[in-house]
This record gives sequence, C-alpha cells and structure tokens, in this order.
Amino acid sequence: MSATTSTGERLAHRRDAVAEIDRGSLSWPLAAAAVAAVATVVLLPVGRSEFAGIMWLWAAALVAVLGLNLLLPVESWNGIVVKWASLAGCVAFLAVFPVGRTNSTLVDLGLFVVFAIVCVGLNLTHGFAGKISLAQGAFLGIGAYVSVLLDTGREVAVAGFEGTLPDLPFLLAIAVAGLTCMVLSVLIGFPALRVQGPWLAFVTLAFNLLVYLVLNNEVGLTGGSRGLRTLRVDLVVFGVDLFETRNYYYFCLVFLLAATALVWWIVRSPWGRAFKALRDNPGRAASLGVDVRTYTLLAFSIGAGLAGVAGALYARLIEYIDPRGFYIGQSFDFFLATVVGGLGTMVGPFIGVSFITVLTDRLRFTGDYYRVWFGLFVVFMMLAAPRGVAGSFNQLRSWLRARREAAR
Amino acid sequence: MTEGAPVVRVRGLTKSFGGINAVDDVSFDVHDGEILGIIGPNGCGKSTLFNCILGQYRADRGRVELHGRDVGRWRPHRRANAGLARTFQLLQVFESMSVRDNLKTAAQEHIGTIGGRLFRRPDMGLGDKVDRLIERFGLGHLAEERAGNLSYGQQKLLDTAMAFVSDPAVVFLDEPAGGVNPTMLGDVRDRIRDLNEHDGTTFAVVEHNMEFIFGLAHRIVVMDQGRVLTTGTPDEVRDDPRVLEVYLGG
Repeated sequence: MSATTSTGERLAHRRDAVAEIDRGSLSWPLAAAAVAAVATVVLLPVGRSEFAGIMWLWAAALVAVLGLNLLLPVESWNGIVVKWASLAGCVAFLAVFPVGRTNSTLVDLGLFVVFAIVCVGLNLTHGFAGKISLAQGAFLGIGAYVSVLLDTGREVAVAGFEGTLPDLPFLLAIAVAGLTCMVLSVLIGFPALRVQGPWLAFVTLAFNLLVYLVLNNEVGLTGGSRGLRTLRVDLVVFGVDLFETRNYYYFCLVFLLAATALVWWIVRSPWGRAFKALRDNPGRAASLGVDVRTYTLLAFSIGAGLAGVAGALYARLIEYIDPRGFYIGQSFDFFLATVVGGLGTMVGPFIGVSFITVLTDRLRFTGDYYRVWFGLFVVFMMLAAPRGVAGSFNQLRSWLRARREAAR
Repeated sequence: MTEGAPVVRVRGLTKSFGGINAVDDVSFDVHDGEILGIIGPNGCGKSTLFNCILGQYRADRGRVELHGRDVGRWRPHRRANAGLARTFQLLQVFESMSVRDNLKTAAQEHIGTIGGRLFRRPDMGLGDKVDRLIERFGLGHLAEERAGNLSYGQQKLLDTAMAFVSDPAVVFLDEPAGGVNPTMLGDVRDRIRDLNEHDGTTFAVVEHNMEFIFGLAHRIVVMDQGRVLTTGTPDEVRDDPRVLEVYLGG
C-alpha cells in the first residue's frame, strides 16, 4: 500500500469518524441545556449542608480533571504525567475530606465511600461486561446482615433451625459477607446467561424484591422490619480504633481504593477484553473461544462481592440496619449513579455517586416531589449525554483527536 | 488436495425446527489443507449446518468429529478452542474495542486457563503476532482505531482476521463475498487462497456467489432442502444435471 493511499484512507476514515460522532449519541444543544440545568440546581442556595458542599467540590474537581485530561493526548508524556497527577490529587482530596468535620458529616462521607464501592463493582458487571443488575441494593443488604449476624454469637431461629451463630472478627466478617454475596450472585448469574437487557433487569429486580421480603419476614434471623443493631465490640483493627468515625472513614476508604485497583487490574488484564467482548457481542465471543458462562458468572460475582463488602462496612457505619435500606429504590440509585457517571469508565462511578448525592441534597426543598424531579433530571441527562459524564468526555476526546488528525 | 486426512468429519447431522428439517442427515468430510465450498439455493440449510458444526445450535442427531474426537455436544467456545474457527454471515466485530484488542480477544482464550489469564501480562505476548496479522490484512494504519469506526469493508477484513489469529485447524467462512464490492472480490479470493497455500489453512466456505466459489474451492458440496445433493470437484459439480435442476428449477 503506497503512502498516499494510506494517508488518503486515513483522512477519509477520520472524516467518517467525525461524522459518526457528529450524528452520534451526544447531542450538543441538549448537553448544554443539561449542564445549565444541573448547574442551576446545584448552585441553588437551599439545603446546602457541609457534606453536600464537599460533594459539590469533589464532583467539580473530577469534572475539571476530566477536562484537563481532555486537553492533552493520552499517549504523550504530558498526558501521562497529568493522568497520574490527577489520580494522586483525587486520592489526596478523599484523604483530606474528613479533616475538621463534624461527626454527622463524617458518616455522610463514609456513606459516599461505601456507595462508591458498590458502584465500582456494578461498573464492572454492567459497564464493562454489559450485564445489567438491579440487585446491588440486595447484595448491600445481604453483606450488611451477614456481617451484623456474625458479630456477637447471636441466637437465631430460621426455617426450623435454632442455634447460635459464630462470633467472627470484623475483617473476617467482611470477607464472609463478600463471599456470601459472590455465591448468591451465581443464582442470578445463571438467568443472566439466558436473558439480556431489560429482561435481565427484571430478573435482578425480582431477586432484590425476594431478598427484601426475606429480610422483612424472617424475623427469627433478621429481626424483620425492626431490623438489627450492631453489637460489635472488637473494633480495633491493626491497632486502629474504628469506633472513631474519622478512622472508620479511612478504613472504608482503603477498601474503596482496593476495590478500584482490583477493577482496574481486571479491566486491563485479558479478562477485561473478554468482559468487553461479552458486552459487545456474546455470540461472537463464544465463537472465538470466550467461555461466556464462566465470564458472565465472574462479572456478576465480582460486582456482588464488592457490594457485600460495602454492605458490611455500611452496617458498622450506620450501626443499625433494617430492610428498607435495601429496597429496590437503593438498587435504582446505584444503577443511576453508574449510568450517569459513565458506564465502562474508571472515573464514572465516582462522578455518579457524588452527582446523585448532590442532587438528592439540592432537591430536598421539593419535598414529596423529590423522586419526580430526580427522575426528570436523569431522563434529561441521559437524552443529552447517553454515555454519562465520563463517557461524554471520552467522546469529546475522540472527536478532538479526529479533528486534529483530519486537520494535519 | 483432497488426499489430506479428514480434519472434520460430519456424519448424519440433523436439525429440525418445528417439523421442518433444516439440516437432514448431512455427512461430509473436510480434508486437511483443502478449500471446501458449500453451495445451495436460499434456505437449503447451509448456515444452519455451520451453526450445528460450530455449536451455535445443538444438532438433534449426528456427529461432528474434529481429529477423530466427537465435539458435537460441546459448547461453542470449547469447539473454538479445539480449533474450529468461523465468521458469520453478518459481520461481527467488537465495536467498542480497537482493532488490535479485537484480535487479542480472538487469540487469548486459546492460551492457558481462565484463572491464569487474570495474572498474565495484558497483551499476553500476542502483540507481535497480532501486529503481523494486522499488516497482512492491510489494517496497519487502523490498529488503534475503534472497530465500530471502520468502514464495512475494513470490518469485514477484521472479522476474517479474527478467525485466523488462533491458528485454527479449520476456518468456516459464512459468505465471505457477501456485501463485498464486486471489484474487491478478487482481493478476498486471493487472500483466502494465499492463506490456504502459504499457511496451509483449511477452509470450509459457504457462498452464494457461484463464480467466486468455483474459482476458489478444491471440492464442492451441493445442498438442497437440508440434504447433500452431490459432492465433487468444481468441474464435476458444474456438469451435474441435478445441480442445474436445483438452481434453474425443473
């Protein structure tokens, strides 16, 4: 192939790419309107708590970081330096969050971290492997209940079985919570082999409902609608007193960073490609040797395992759990956070969770209409930028790159 | 070319959908190093036959042997890893991934175990091999491009390249000439012939374009209404009155 044809082809191809993006999913007027609308609400002076202020700053910082990364090509040294500096900056931000905060703000920050763990896991299941799940709230609940039930040798009576549960150290209880969710996720992973898209959403939703009913009705095990209170006293891990909320926040943060590193590792390993192949085209993937069943179950169990770990952390953080915290609304929030942040991007879940948190806080003044406004916002966001915040930045990046190359 | 040992033996393969036998007691061999053409009018069961051989459908009866081993009950990924590669009638690439990642995905599952792959280097040492194949298929300047951004012709090349990257025992091509610009047909044929002659790759090719397949295949299987009508060299098949009857109506 001569140099001229290859350049010609490349240019033609770039033009195609630009055209593709132009008529593609990101709608500029809608995106601008969405940004304006979100900014208006976010800047509203009502209901501004200390916590929401931090979240707002955090979301703004993330968007700024995405913008900065947009300006520099990923492959260049500058780009690499900026990328790592951004990452370090984000970690530093999370570490500085709790300094000089009140206890209630610290609990809210802890909740943000815990929910981010769930969304990081869901992002692997849904974002990278393409398996929609509306059951993460249930896994959060299972993790929470398992860890609480294993705290002080509780007496339980369920389905004709009466006995005393073991009393496990906190770290071990967290691990058991995660593993329980991984095993149970196989239950909904198998239907996922048969159904896709909205049907899979229904199946997972039904599972969530089932878990809710069990939590609500198995009074002998879960305390029913009265819930359970954590009675754990052994809260010193590696010499750190976790009764101190600030310490506990850092403890949760370590799990969040580990979960993020784990997902990052998986995504860039050969597994990541297999997951994406599963998402893009499972039939083709199988014909190329990808074991669709095993990878689907893996995608589900990793996401569920992380939700279980998050559940164990959550239970200790808020000290009292009842089934209402794990109803399908919770699963929808995780789902929306992941989608709004940007499916299949590493930064997406972080943006999504903070976005949802800020929006929830800002819309508090609407009272009972909160869900309506919230839903409208998400619909609007999705119409404007279907790939979510981080996904739109990626689109913007390819568009800029295509333009640069076409101009060359 | 037909002297080679049979790599794939299909015996008595049958698949019916609601009382209609889409594939009805089909038997044939694919020999090592040959290009086998499979032709027949629309709806004669060619694609269903491929789907049964490669595991997308489970056959009701019959055997599919690869190197003498019955693989007829295996799931598709296992057959692929054992050496049966394919393309589909409608082209199928992983649109969100780069050209290079598409090919790595196509190659990686043949190496090691699932658990082991989590701890392998991201490119699994496939970089050079993949890059050579990309160059060979003329996609060098597009290696890092999203497959979804490629033109139809380029995606078709990638789709075919993905079937080769794992050095399969037999490559099953479902209508490689379908949707290809007539001026490019010679190109497609030359590429298949080149892979057959220089790399010794064995092919089974379903094709509608008679001129294309008669100029390419060493042997041809003619199917009609789910059954094998006749098998022979292109010349034998061309002169067979039954084949004319099927195609021209009688």
